[in-house]
Amino acid sequence: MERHEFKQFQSQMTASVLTGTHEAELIEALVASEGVPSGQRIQIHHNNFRETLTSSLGGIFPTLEAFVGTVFLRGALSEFCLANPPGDAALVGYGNGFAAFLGNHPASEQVPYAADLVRLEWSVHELQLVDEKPHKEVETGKWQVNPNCRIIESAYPLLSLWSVANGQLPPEAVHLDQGGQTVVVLLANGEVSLLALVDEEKDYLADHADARSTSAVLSSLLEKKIIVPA
Amino acid sequence: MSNTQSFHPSGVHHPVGVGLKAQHYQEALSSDHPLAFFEVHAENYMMQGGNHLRFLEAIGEKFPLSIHGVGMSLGSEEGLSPKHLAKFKNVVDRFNPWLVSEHLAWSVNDGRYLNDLLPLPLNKTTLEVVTDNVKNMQDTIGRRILIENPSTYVSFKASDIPEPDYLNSLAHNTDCGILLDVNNIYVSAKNHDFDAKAYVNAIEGSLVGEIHLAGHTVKNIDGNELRLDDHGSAVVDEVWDLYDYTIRRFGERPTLIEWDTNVPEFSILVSEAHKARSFMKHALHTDKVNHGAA
Repeated sequence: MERHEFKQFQSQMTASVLTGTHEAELIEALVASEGVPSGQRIQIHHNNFRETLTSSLGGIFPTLEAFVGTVFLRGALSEFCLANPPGDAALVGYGNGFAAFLGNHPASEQVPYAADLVRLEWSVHELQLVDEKPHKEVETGKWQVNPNCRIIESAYPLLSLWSVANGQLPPEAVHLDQGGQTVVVLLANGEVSLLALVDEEKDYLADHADARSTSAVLSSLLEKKIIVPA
Repeated sequence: MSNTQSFHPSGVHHPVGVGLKAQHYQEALSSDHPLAFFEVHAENYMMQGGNHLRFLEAIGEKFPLSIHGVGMSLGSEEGLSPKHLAKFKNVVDRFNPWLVSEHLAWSVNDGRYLNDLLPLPLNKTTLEVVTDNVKNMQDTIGRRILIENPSTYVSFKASDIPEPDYLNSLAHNTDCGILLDVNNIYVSAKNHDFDAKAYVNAIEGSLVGEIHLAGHTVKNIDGNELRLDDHGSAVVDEVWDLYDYTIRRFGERPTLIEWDTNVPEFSILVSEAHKARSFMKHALHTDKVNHGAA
């Protein structure tokens, strides 16, 4: 085997792993064994690729799983993994694109809040894997959004849905048509917490986050550590 | 390099450990167990911060660590990813492990990570590739590494070097050691119908720095059996027998229980590790060990 042939083999094997279909030349390169045929043996690597990535990501989205069920979640994740193979062996950042993928998935039309739930759970996951970024503690008269925050705006009652899935609210307490919620995911003192913004707070963050102000809204946001001195 | 005691933590005899799982952090920290070391996958600790890193730092202060890579892709024709090498080095520098290991396999091609330990043909061409990659990894992280034998489901017409000879040559070419996964030998032996003990006999014992044990699953495909290395169950009796044979031949080696799917309670892992330790003690007290047979 020459070096270019080895390179070609790895390209053929890559296609096999990613697609589950195998070029005749790849099968021909295998030693035919007694028992299980070569095509089914090589298929194991496609199955491993799909199943291990799906399982790895599945653990990040327990709230979504509570709403859509394991079969739907694993099916969607499997499609995502096949369409978006990771580019890095360190998988801690893999799955970042799942919300966008799910938002465009036809099946999620029946679960229109699914992509927002993924954004929420991904933010929780992401903040659990970083240290808190330092920020000024002393008042400077100017403010910025806390760098340890993720803000998710949804047309659905996102935090209430999360609370239902986690047993903190009864299902009958939440209706999809009750209006949207903007949820802050905040890392503080090593713990990740969730809180919903009232409309005034949301509007302030949208328009005035870096402005000088002493409004009651500002005080509330400061108290919750959603904004910090700039 | 051939002094096998150099593989042992200072003052530890019959060293057995388990793969560390997040759900077992608190129990691992307790010291109320007979484990001599813990092994983690390097890639699971390549994040920027958070509690996983803090737990591993705390456990690493009390116990020796083994950093086991699963994504370096030492068999890649295109060479190693400098970005991944740098991340791996960061993990090694941060935790200063007792052992560092990787696999005789590949998993990266053309910018895509295939999340599996893929087999490669075993011949002169691929040995040159793997040799260059192992040297690159060892030079970059500044550490000697151990290379693990794979479980395989296919074999290649282009292979003309037996796997034990390939591993021995790789170790001599690069000064790396061998991580002998006894379950992998058994799985491959059943899948390809070769003699597992003959495989062990062909390995140069002085090169073996660690042994892995794990469970596997038996899959029936249209009436034909195939063994899959899924690390999801207890070690089977046939693998214990092969482990017994291996340590009687090579002598005591750090031995690790891997259990990565369907992870049980910590006590089950400890029980498996205790069993390995009992095998090691019994073998060494009842048999003359043929150290470094080659």
